[in-house]
Amino acid sequence: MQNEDLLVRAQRLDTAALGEIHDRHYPEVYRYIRFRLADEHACEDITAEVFLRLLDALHKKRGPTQNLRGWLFGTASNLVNDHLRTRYARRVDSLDAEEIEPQDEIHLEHSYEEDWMQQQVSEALLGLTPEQQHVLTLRFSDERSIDETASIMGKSVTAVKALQFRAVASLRRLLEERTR
Amino acid sequence: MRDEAKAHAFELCIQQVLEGADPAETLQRFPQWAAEFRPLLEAASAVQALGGRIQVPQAAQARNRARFLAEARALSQKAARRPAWGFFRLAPVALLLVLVIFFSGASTIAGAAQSLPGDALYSLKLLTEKTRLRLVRNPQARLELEQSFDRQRLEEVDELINQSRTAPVTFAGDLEQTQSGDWYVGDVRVVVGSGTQISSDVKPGIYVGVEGLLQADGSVKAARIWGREFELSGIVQGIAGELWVVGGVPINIPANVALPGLAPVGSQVIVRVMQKADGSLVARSLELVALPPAPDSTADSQPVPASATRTQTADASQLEHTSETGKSTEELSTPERSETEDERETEEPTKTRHPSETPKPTEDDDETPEPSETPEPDDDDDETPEITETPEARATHRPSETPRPILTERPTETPKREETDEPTETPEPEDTDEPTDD
Repeated sequence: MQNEDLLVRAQRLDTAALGEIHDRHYPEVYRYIRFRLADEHACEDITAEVFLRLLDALHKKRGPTQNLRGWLFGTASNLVNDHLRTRYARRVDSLDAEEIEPQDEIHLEHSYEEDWMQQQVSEALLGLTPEQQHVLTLRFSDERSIDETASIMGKSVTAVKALQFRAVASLRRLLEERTR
Repeated sequence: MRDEAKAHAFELCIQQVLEGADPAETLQRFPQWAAEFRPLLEAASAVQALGGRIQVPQAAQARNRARFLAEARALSQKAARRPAWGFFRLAPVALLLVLVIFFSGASTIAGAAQSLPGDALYSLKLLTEKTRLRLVRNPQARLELEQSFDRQRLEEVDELINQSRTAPVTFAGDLEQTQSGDWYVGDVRVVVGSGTQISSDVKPGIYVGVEGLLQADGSVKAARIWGREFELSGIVQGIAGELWVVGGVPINIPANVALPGLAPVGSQVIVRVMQKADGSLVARSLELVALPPAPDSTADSQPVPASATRTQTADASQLEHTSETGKSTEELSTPERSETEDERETEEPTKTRHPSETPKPTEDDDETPEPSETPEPDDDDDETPEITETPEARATHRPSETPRPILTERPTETPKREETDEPTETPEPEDTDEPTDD
């Protein structure tokens, strides 16, 4: 079934269509969020929230009519940004080391060096602008093409290429700073 | 323009990285940027590796699918009756509510409490109940809370019947059989068919759980009926024949459930009990978690192998307390902290409960435990000094010189720590701007 047909049925809260949407998109939304957040529980919660928001939007007739994937990733990105903002604010407020979520939860069955490097990468990612994080996550969490990424972001391919270049360059700089 | 070409060249290299190929050849096509690109492509490879590690948990996906579809069904049923609030948005609020209610001592749940089986918020209600139960460790209080939840389940079924609604229900009550052979559980008629699973222990007069479908005629078509058990975890405070007192709760423990001497007074046990029609409790099984605590045990919630192999001496010394703690039966109505205080009073009559009045450490240098034996500091900082340096450690019935650990058990039971853990992980998405329609 095409996304558009699905969306028309989903607007009517047809559970078969909604089930299919969930099956189709949950994994990629989860991967997107997990790529940006090390906290597995927060990741599950935020993925759930993305779908609840979809339901809410469909119900209020202001949900996506065409670009479902763009809507889902856009919402996921906003929720992750909010989460990171609140977390950061909390961290600054309390300066309590316990509140800083450990960044090591993805890492299983890998060598210590790999784990360490991955931790550096995921922490360095947090130093990028939300838009830079968004583009790298779309490209690398599920290996989406540049065209698809541009479509999801609602930008031109040229703009996304430029954004991607700046994002990787910043990341490299942040990594150098961390590992110096 | 040059930047555009550069970003395009970089994209070609990124494609190589994503395909797992060596971007060296592509780099050769752009010698003017090769030196600049190389370190960036290393970073890109590292980012790609991060993505490659992510696994989508099937269980979480399945769970969320069920929740998502349940919410969708509730929305389409209720249409404009309520805003499409997600479970997730409400969770922090509900948790807060639970904590407030818990500390105010009220016995009913507010907020989502109005929901009935079949409602979208019903699972939230059950979750808040579970959370409350988790926060209560005192066996007596916990049992009472669980019983109050059981009463609520019955009230919900009554309310559904009043509204002539059908819904899947789970509830408990005393099983009665009328002369005509009809079954009633807590005054709700229960229809038993060939498809009903009935546990062998089910018979009229016992307290049973029922799972089934409430039908339009007000009866419940039972899918499963079983003898409802409650689990009690606590310290054996007294034994008089078959009557035991566990964590302040009197329980009849027949000899076939617990062999004499299996769990002497002072042991930590888990007892599964059934409630008789007169409210008394009869044990179905008893599990020994730990014998009277050894000096180095700090947490009662975990079995302590060392204490499980304690010698007779320790057991015998604990038995001395039988007569003292036997009075606990009188204090059944005292909830929560009473157990702690009771233990302290009976076992350490001279000791002050106030942490600030810690005995001087110099008094018992020879008995000060090794650092490695110090109870973990995060249990409760206030009480730790008292525990490690208490003169009680000299008590003659202790087989080693480390202090009595029984006090250290209490801090781990206080609900404080658990509460604070909960809300910190929940994101607060309220001010998120959702993308506009495409």
